[in-house]
Amino acid sequence: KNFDYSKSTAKFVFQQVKMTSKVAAAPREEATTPALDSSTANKLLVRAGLAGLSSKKAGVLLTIAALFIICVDAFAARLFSVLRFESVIHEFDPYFNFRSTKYLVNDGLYNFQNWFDSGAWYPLGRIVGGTVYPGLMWTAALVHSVLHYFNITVAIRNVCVLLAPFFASNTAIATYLFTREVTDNGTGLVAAAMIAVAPGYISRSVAGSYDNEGIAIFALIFTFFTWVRALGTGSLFWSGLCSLAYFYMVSAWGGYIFIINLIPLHALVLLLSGRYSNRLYVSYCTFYVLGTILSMQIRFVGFQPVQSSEHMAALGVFGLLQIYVFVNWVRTLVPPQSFRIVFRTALIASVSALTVVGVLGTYLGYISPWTGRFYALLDPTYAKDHIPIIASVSEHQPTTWASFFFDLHALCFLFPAGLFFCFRKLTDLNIFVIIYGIMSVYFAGVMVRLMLVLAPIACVIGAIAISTTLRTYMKQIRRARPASNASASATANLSRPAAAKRAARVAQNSGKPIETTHEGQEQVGYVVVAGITLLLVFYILHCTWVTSEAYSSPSIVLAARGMDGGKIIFDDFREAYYWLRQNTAEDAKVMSWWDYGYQIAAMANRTILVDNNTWNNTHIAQVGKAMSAYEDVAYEVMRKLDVDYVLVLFGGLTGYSSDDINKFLWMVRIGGSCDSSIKEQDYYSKEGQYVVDGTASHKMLNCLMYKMCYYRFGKVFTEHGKPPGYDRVRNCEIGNKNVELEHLEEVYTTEHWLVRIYKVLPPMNRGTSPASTRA
Amino acid sequence: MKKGLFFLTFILLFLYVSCDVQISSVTRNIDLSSQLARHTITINLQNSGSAASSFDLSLEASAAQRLSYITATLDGTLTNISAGAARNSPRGEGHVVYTINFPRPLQGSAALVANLVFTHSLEPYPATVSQDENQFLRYTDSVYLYSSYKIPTQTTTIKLASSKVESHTDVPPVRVRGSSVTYGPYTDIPTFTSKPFTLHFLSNKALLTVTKLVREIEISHWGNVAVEETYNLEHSGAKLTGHFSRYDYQRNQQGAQTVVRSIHQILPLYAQDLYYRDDIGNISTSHITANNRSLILELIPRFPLFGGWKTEFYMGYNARLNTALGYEYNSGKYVLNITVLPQYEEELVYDDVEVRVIVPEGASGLELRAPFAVDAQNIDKRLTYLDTSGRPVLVFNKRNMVSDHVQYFQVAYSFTSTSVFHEPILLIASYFAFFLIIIVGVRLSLRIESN
Repeated sequence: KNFDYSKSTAKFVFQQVKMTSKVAAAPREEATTPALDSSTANKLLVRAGLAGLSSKKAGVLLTIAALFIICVDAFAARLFSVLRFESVIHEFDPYFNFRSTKYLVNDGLYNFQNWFDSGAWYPLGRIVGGTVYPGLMWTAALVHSVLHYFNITVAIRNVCVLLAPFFASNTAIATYLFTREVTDNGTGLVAAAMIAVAPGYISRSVAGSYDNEGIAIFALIFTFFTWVRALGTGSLFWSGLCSLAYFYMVSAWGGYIFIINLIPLHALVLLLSGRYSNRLYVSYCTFYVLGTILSMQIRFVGFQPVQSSEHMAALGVFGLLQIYVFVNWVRTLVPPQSFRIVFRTALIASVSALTVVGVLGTYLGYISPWTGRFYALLDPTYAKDHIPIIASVSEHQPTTWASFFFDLHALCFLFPAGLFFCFRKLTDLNIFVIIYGIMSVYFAGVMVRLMLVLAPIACVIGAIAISTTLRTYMKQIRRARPASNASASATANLSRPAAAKRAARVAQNSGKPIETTHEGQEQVGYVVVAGITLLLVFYILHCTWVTSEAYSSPSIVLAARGMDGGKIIFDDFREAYYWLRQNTAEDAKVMSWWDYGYQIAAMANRTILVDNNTWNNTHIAQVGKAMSAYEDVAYEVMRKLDVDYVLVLFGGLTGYSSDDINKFLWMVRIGGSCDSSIKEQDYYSKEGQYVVDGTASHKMLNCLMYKMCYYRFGKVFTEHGKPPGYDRVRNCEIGNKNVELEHLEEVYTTEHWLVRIYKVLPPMNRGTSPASTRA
Repeated sequence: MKKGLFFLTFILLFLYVSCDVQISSVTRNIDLSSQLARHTITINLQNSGSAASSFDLSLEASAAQRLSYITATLDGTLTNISAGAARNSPRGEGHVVYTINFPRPLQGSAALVANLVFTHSLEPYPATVSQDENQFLRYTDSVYLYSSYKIPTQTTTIKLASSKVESHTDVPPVRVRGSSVTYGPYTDIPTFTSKPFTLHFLSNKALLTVTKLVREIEISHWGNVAVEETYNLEHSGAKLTGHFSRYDYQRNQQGAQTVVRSIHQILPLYAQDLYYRDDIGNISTSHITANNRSLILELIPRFPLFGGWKTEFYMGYNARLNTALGYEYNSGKYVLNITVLPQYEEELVYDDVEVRVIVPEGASGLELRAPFAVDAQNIDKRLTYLDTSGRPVLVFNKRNMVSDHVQYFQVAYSFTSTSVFHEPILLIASYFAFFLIIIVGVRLSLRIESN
């Protein structure tokens, strides 16, 4: 008898899940069918000579063809830099990722997990295996090994370079799936087409930009797709898939915090707006429990999901859902009067218990305080006042209006319209789109870098706007045409069941019977459709232009136009790095500002003191101190740090403006944050200006950075009609033309003086003059 | 027949023992104007006994190690030289003997001209110089030809890279005239005698050494030969001491004496799709010029090479298959004909060369026909695009090579013409399988309950 009972409960649960799934599936099916108008599809196919397919198959075929073209487009649009320059890794962080991927490919997964990199952060070293999001390297290594399994011997560099474009194609597909889930097939295709070229996303996913974001946006959108699918169907399978997608996202990018806050927020909003359903319970609980356990498998994340405050919202919503369900269950068991008492007691008890746990946890250090970057997210001015190292990074700056337009173009206008359409027909899934849209607009406004998160949803919402508008007005055009034709054909059409069904659906959607056409409605339709087409054309043009002009420079190779119009290539960075690699001792330690750390490690293969993983502020401050102090003080610091070579970037000869002199104030500030003897004021002229000419302060003109940049520069003629030693970035004649170095020696300067490398000389023999022999 | 052969051997052995080849005079010309030591030794031979078939050229062990290339002509006819054999002199000094086999038995007198090329014979002294200083080299050799024969009279003339001679060992009679130094004539030199001399002179010739060259030639029967060369290049001249000043380097281009700005490879006119890269990407500094015989590819390293500086790079190109591959009717084999080394305008020394010839999958019976003895040879395998079993690779190594080794070699192999279609069939089959899986997959229902 016992056995029977258990069986029956199991069956009951099964049925319930099935019921909920049916409930969700029903509106979805309705939404997908009108998406690709089967009759139009058929007409197109007849024209293409593919008649004979059923309209459903024709729709599938058209969708696949469109998606394929979108994927190719997404891939191809990102190849500007490869075609213009070469297949090379861009910027700074990608070089670290590339280096780690090489390590992973050569040394295997376990060695990579345990990798202690003694070549970085000398003498501290870095536990790379435990301080990276390894998803990117895993992905590239997986692609590499699959290709090599089939004897397709593609070099790991090319895999890395082309990974981001490949994942951009995948993102387009994921966006299509996500949008189709929320709205319908046609809107999905529009969204996919828009994300394929959206500059906000292209900026981080061109070929060579081998960075976490390249694959993370795919993971993000795919997680959201599985989430809305899970929520729509209440299926355990999709919830499980959602947590797997979330796991992939966690492994790939720190931005997973966005997901683990957005999905709980969505659940909370649904709960508060009275849209609770068993589907929500199943999908959220599965996602939260599995997702949290999985995310803790990433070493870098570790116990954060249960300790750090960024993750507490998800836990809170999880608890709330349990309480809600429990209360509902209790309500069915006890009479209403007693229920009120029970409810109040339970509420007070749980809230106070949570508060106590929270306070205790924070006090004892189990729940970590919020990180600086997170505060910077909530309060854009926080970083500027408190953490110079975060503020010094340009991608952490607040976004300007211009860059919103630059990165989104038409989507700026379509976004509000799309939001309006979402609000007009609220569903569980629409609400998710609205929340995601609004949250990401806020975050994108706070930090330029997070424009990346906004771009996909802007495309989705924009696609909703376009697709809804087009559908409305195309209908008018189409309706106007058969009306002018013989009405007999219309009745003949109506006799066919499909047409009848369609007419009925149109009637149902608009809630009114089919209207008779107004005078001029067709013309209005034409104008609107033409306007939207024009907008889309301009969108495409803008995207292509932005990609080509702004986002396709590898930044490791610079190109300029010469006087004769020919292309001049400035390959100084690689020249210097390769010189270091070939002509210095293998264990030489190179000191440079942290920006170039990853590049030196990857290309010069030498030990570095600080790099772009700015985890140790005081160590960077040491380097900042050495750069900003007088030479003999700096020499002491460099001796302590075992520095063999110092590398600086100098743009004064070519006019390259992001050089070390322009970054120098950050070195002073960061150096000063740990050593009070360095004061920013000392480096300004009497007028309080940051200058390098004769009016500059004594400290400025004699600090190590100034000396290394301008050593021997005082004799160089840079521009016609200007005195020697004319700095073309700062547009002035330098103030100290006779720079003498006592403890350093110039060992290499690149062709355009962009990179200068100095050797730290061994200490002098006792009792000898500076210029004579050294030990 | 066998008896005849035995007899012949006996006669030869007899001749070797009893023949009476003698040296009447020796004139040595040593050319030190490049980074090599090129010896042209003219030996006037006199045979008073029965016909002689060979002459033993001896080299001291240290010199033999530096010997890169050797040829000899007897009265203008090229001779065959057997590989060096280590021997000991009567006084117990180790030396290496190269037996020069005459094309025809020698009777009476004849002039034997031996050309020897030695590498790494010039030593920078001082070993380090600053950026705009001149480089001085030291050369040490013996004024006498080390020989197992008595030498009645001998002269050595050395041509230097410049007329500025810092010092020379005085072994009278010596005459220094311009850039040329003459030792001798010396008379009646006993066997196995050496007397060292040292010349110290100005030479701003860059000592360019390719410490490792891997030359890879890949044949595709779809019509392409791909050549790729990987270089480890080193400037082994006087090391740059102290700092490198870009300002001085740019202001005074003549100041930096021994610096190497570029090297020029001479390529056949039909070479196409040239590339020039290293580990960290494309090297944008290269130029191609063409004359009516060849392409000249100017390879400019990322940074100028001063003494002691090193760089690594690789370059390559494609060519049509018929420029290098032929078919041999009598053996039924395909024959690749290509040079062992690339050709450069500059004098380079190759310390270690590895040549890899990759033939298409399915080829067999690889056979190397080299113009000189190689140090090592083996068959490797490479798996790459569209391979299932791998392509056979013939690898051979040789140490210490110079421009005189720019000679053609052949690799013959059997290849059935149907093997060419292996790759397209593989592609077609995999596409077919892909669509088949989709076709089946779409129609397959894995649901337990019926819809």
